[in-house]
This record gives sequence, C-alpha cells and structure tokens, in this order.
Amino acid sequence: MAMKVMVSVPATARKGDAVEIKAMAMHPMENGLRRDNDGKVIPRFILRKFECRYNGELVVDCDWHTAISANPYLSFFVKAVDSGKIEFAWTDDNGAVERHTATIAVT
Amino acid sequence: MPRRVGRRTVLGTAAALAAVGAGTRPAAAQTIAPVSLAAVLKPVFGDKPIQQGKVVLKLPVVAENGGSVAVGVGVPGTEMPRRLVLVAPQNPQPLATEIHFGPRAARAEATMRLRLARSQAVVAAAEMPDGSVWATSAEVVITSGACIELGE
Amino acid sequence: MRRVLALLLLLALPALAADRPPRSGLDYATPGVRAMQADDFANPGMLWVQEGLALWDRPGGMGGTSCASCHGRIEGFAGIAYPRRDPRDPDKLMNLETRIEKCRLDNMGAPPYGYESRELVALTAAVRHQARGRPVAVVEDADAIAAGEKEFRQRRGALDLACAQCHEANAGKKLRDETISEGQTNGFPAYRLRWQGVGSLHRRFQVCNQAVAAEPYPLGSQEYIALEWYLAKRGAGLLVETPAVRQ
Ligand code: HEC
Ligand code: HEC
Repeated sequence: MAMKVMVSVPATARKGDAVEIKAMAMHPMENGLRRDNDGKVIPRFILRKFECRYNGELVVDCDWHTAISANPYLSFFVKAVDSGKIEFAWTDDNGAVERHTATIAVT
Repeated sequence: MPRRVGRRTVLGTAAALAAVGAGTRPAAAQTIAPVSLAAVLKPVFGDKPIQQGKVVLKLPVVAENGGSVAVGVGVPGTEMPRRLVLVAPQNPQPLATEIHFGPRAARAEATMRLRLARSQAVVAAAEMPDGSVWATSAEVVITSGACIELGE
Repeated sequence: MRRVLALLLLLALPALAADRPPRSGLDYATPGVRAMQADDFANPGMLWVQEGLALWDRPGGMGGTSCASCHGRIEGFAGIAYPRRDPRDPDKLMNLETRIEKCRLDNMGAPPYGYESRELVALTAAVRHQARGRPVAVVEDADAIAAGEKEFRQRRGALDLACAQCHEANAGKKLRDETISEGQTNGFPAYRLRWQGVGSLHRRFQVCNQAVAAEPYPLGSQEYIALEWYLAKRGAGLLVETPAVRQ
C-alpha cells in the first residue's frame, strides 16, 4: 500500500508521562452504500484495523467498521517508559498493511 | 465535469434560501429515537447485564456534518477495560469500533471521528477485567439533510 | 415554487457592500471545523499536502526529472502570485493549477495530471501551503480583475442569483445547514467535509453554480480564472490558510 499517513509523536518525553499520540490516514472508508454517477454501487473498501505498539508492546488496537469517517483519525495516550520506537499499522479490507514508525526519546 | 442540475437542487436551494436569515432551520434535523442500552449492545455482549456508568462519552450536541462527528470515549481512573465499544444504532451498520488498550496505554481514552447517518443516541460500552459491562449514551443532532444537497 | 422564488428574490436584494476588511471563511466556520483546521495533525488536508510534497520529489516525464530537479526546494515557491497572464500568450490567464500542468507538459515532458486529479490537487495544495500565514499575493491587472468582477455580479441560473447576492448581501446568514461566508479564496485548495477530501477552488465554484441551477464553467476555464483573480484582489489582506477545513 502506498497510503499517506501522518502521526504526531513528541520527540522527547519525561519518564512516566502520559503522552498524547495522534494518527491519521488518507482513506475514503467507502461504506459500500454509495453509488457513483452511473448509479453503480461503489464497493465497500475500508481500513478495518489500526494498531499501535511501543517497543513491541501493545498500546492500542482497534477494529474499525463503516461508521468510521473518511481519512480516519485517532488520538490516545501512551505511557512514556523508555526511548525507542512507536509503530503504527493500518490494515485494509484486502489485508494490505501500511506501516509507519516514529521515535521517542524518554529522559 | 459539469454535472446536470436536477430539479431537486433547484427546489433544495430555493427552500433553503427561503429560510435564509429567518432564524429557523429547514426540517433536516430528525427526532431522536430513544435507545435501550441492553438492546443496542446485545449483538456485542449477548445477555450480559448492562450497568450504567463508568464509561464517559463526549459528542457535540449538534453536528453540521454527519460524515465527520468528533467523539471522545473513555473510562476515567486507573482501571483498564478489556475493551471499549461504540455503537451508532441508527447507522446501516451500527457497530462503529471496538478498542483494546494494551499495557503501554496511559489511559483508557481515545478520540476519533464518526460517520453518522442521522440524528441519534450513540452508545459507548466498556467491558471491565471482571467481565462486568458498563454503558452510557449521548445524543447528537445532525443538521445536514440526507437527501437535499446544496450542490455536490 | 413561484412563491418560494419570490420570497428568495426579496431576501436576496443586493445590499450596499459595506466598506470593511474582508473576513476569512474560517471566521464563519463552526467550532468543530475551526478546531480541525487549527491542529495540523487533526486536519486531514495535511495528508494531501504530504502527498504533494512527495510528488514534488518524484521523477517523471521524458527527462526523468522532478519538480525539485529544476525548482529546488518547494519553499522557494512561497512568494509566487497566481493567477497571472501567460508571458508568451498574454490573452491567456493561468492559475496555479494550469501553470503546474503547463510546466509538466512543456518543461518536464510529462502528461498533465488532469484538473481535479488527486495529484494536481495535492501538488497545488503543497505549493500554496508554503505561503500559509502570509498575505495572499495578487498580481495587479485591471482588465482581468474587472472581467472577474463581472462574473461575480452576473445573475445566473434558474434562481437568477449572482455570487455577490449570497457572498456580499447575505454573508453571515444561514443557508440550510451552512453559514454563508464572504466566499473568500485564501483557504484553497481546501478540505471540505462534504467532499471527504481536498478540492480545488474551481470545484467549489461549480458547487455554487449548481446551487442556483446554473451550468458550471469547466474547471480551469478562463471565466473561473478571472473570477479567482478578482476574488484574490477582493480578499486582499487575508492570510493564506491552505489547507483550510470547510464544511
Ligand atoms: C445561493 C447562495 C450562493 C451563491 C449564489 C454562491 N455561493 Fe458560494 N457559497 C455558498 C455557500 C452556502 C457556501 C458554503 C459556506 C461558505 O463558506 O460560504 C459557499 C462557499 C463559497 C466559497 C468557499 C469559501 C470558503 O471560505 O471556503 C467560495 C470561494 C464561493 N462560495 C464562491 C462563490 C462564487 C464565485 C459564486 C458565484 C459563481 C458563488 N459562490 C455563488 C452559497 C452561495
Ligand atoms: C525540466 C525543468 C522543469 C521541471 C522538471 C519542472 N519545471 Fe516548473 N518551470 C520550469 C521553467 C523553466 C519555468 C519558467 C517558466 C517557463 O519557461 O515555462 C517553470 C515555471 C514553473 C512555475 C511558475 C513559477 C513562477 O514563478 O511563476 C511553477 C508553479 C512550476 N514551474 C511548477 C512546477 C511543478 C509543480 C513541477 C513538478 C510537477 C515542475 N514545475 C517541474 C522548469 C521545470
């Protein structure tokens, strides 16, 4: 997948802090109910899973359905424990996965 | 591509214009059907008893665009739920999302945007580690009419 | 229907254009929309800007060049002003979109993207975004601006309404679920919730034409570029917001 994604992860954080993370992906989240100009149903095509891990351990994992808006956005909080990688993964209806990694320095 | 201008567009804009500045809204906002938390959550939690409380749900009272309604959901405190569930009962597919928090989550809290087909009471539920289920609902009025669009 | 029309014509009587500074569409937007625009990580329009930045560096065309190979850093375009006339064919007006398309064709030897294609919208948004926070730059051209103003004041469509009747006389009033703004252009290309994506200014013009049951001009047409030019001049002093968020 070559999908545009954006995440907001602070470059640095203090140990023990709750840090807000924001993640957004460019995706139509077609719910399978809309019709094109010729009246044909546009097939369902959504991102159905979002996951965030911090140095391999789970932060949050979501199942998404058709009620999630186009270009889905999620914000949540991680506990800053140690420096390392925060990894994001979006999975679509075809099983294709888009990944993104950010780094955080914890002092 | 220039698109055909339908009779509906003309009538839609004319009706809308007639209301310009009149301080009233065209009757786009539908009445909100009352919800039974137990009935709405049955497909997810089966016959488990549903208690009111613990879970907090934030929605705007009025949203101008049902395609993107900001929603905040969470369980305040240190106890992490097994999962959080959001349901939009009046949507074609009501179950909106199911969220699991892992050991690195600092709070059982998330914000997102929902697509709501019409005005309704959205339901949020939390299943706690002891298996108990807590729920709440919040009403939101969607003002954009479903059928009369002002242009594309 | 006739009564409705009579009523709306009454409501749409032209008011005297008050002599006050222009206000951005953002000032008329709902708190939810304003919050989305205020945070780059919540503004989905930024996804298009990101895509545009990637396209800036992507090689293509006959020489395998990218925008960056000839123009360097995209920040260098923060000060460019469009619309303007084609230096080689002064009768022809160009806006940023048609300028980029022309550059692909003439200088890059690559096929144009197509007016409302995701690529062209993204690239235009990325270039305009470089000027965010700066006053909209306008090229002075009395003839083109006058032509654009004529379009703005021209009554059209089955409802016989001009742009000015909504965006001057009725700015601030509710039209169905939307508050009519002054029809300023400083946020474009803009993310529109109803589009679920970023769209060009000319796409917005088409929506406004269709709302009064007028046949829209084609995207990128000379009429729309003149209109765009006049609107830029009319909004002088406003700061670029691209990518704005609108309902
Ligand atoms: C029937 C009333 C009506 C007419 C006539 C009309 N518009 Fe609009 N226009 C709207 C509404 C409603 C919106 C959406 C709310 C807003 O931003 O004003 C809008 C939005 C816009 C915007 C986007 C403003 C922003 O900040 O995002 C522009 C630009 C615009 N119109 C230009 C025009 C032009 C040019 C014309 C004439 C070709 C025109 N409009 C005719 C009602 C109208
Ligand atoms: C092979 C070199 C080359 C490439 C590649 C190229 N350009 Fe250009 N561009 C030029 C030249 C030369 C001009 C000056 C006007 C002219 O002669 O066409 C120009 C002018 C422009 C202008 C007008 C600038 C101004 O000051 O008014 C824009 C905007 C522009 N290009 C955008 C792009 C974009 C976006 C791309 C990538 C899709 C691109 N160009 C790729 C050579 C190039």
